[in-house]
Amino acid sequence: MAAACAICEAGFKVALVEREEHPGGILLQCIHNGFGLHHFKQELTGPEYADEYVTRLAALPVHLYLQTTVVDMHVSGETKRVVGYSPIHGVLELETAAVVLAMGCRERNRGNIGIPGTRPAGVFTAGLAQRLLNVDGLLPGKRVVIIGSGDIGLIMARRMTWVGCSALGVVEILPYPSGLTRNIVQCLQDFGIPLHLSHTVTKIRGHDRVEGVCVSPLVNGVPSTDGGFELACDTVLLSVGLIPENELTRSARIRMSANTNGPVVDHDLQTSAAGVFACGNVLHVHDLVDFVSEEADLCGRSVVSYLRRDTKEERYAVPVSAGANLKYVVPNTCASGRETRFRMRAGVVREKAELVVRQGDNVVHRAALRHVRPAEMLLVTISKQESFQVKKDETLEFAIL
Amino acid sequence: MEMICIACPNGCHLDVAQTARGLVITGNKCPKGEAYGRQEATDPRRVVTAVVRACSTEWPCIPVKTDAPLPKQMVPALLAALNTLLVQVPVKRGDPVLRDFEGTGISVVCTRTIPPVKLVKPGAVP
Repeated sequence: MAAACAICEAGFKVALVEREEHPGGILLQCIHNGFGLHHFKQELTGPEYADEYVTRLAALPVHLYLQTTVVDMHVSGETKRVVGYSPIHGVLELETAAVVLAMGCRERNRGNIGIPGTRPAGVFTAGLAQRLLNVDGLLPGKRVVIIGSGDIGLIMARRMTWVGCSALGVVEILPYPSGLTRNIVQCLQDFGIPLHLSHTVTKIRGHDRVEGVCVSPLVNGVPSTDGGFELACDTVLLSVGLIPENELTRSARIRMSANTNGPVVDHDLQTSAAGVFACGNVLHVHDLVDFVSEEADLCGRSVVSYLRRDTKEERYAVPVSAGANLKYVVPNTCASGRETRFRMRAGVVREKAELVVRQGDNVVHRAALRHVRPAEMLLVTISKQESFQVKKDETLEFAIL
Repeated sequence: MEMICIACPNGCHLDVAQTARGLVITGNKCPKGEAYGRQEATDPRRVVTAVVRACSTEWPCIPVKTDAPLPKQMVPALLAALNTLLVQVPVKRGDPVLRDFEGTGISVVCTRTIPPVKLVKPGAVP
């Protein structure tokens, strides 16, 4: 919606195609507050944050196609053809000059992490349970064990407790929580819900419905037979990470990044197919929606300059790589002669670290970081001035030292 | 009393102690931690978000929130009260569903606009 607004406000004709009945995506089921602190400078709930954009969108002549699933995208030179199906519009075919991919992400599920045991009912991803509870008004279970300490899992621990169910514990395989600190404090510690770090679920038990899970501590990365215990529960929620939803991108043969599971994009957020852009969780998984909006707005403005065929101010672009202690850096190129904002995710927990951007011994940018967590995305801006130091044909490396 | 400050990602471990000179907060790296520790130790409050039942076939429930942080010990009572509600649609974002809960001056408001039900004639193309 943010990208659509930015493009439409510049005077271009925009169609927004959405699979669900209402625009807003996952925000509509995230009824908790804490959204918008950066972008709107106030604390909003998910539906309120979505409403801000729905209101902005409603004032613009954007063609909104709801309940329409895009199944195919053809890129041949200048024109892109997008094909979708819908119970309202039938077969929808759109011919466009540019496409913005904003399909979001999907939750990893039991199959992705391979938990042993039987296959009873009652194993949900945390986001599915959230939707059932907050949108459809259905209770997924009574006694819940949460696997993985991602934010949605933590939020669901509180939500389930508030609707009168009991959350028996959160089992996290890593030695540190994957969710934000404020969620650990307000969703677990407030209710005395135990967080088992460096533990893993070795078995899900139950015939028709989940009856319990076996939990074992990890010793040197291997589940140990000593110190294991069982939690009797009827429901298992999985909050074990998100994967960008890129079936459409792959089918259009757009180059993908192995680090983010999203498309490879340049400094304008343009993919390997000219005129196809990407933003939000489809590009890489964000932890704050405020950053999604900001990225989408930037993407929208890039689309506008693409459509206007603005003469590029930059002279050349160099590839970007994620060095020591970083999982990934987005976008994947840095242009000389302009400002670029980079988003990256750390692979380590550190206090007082330094982020260094360099080409060999030539340091382009350095920044002191007070706290580095894999759960919290890092933002770095390479200013126009700094970008002039970037030399041609040499990879720009980002690293945390 | 030990607690973790949530004012920023630093997550300082605070130690709040009751002394003759009043509350003494240690372990914070900034004034926000001091304020957080004091608030949590004397009057912990939470914004409560929940869903209430809607009187509609199309919309099973409506998301709501308290318009200000509620004293923590009152949260279960508020949730119990919200469970008994049945709200008529349409509603607009910000419409109250429960006013001035137990004299706190805190109301519960809708966080989503639920439009009037669209009447579709049988066989009509929407």
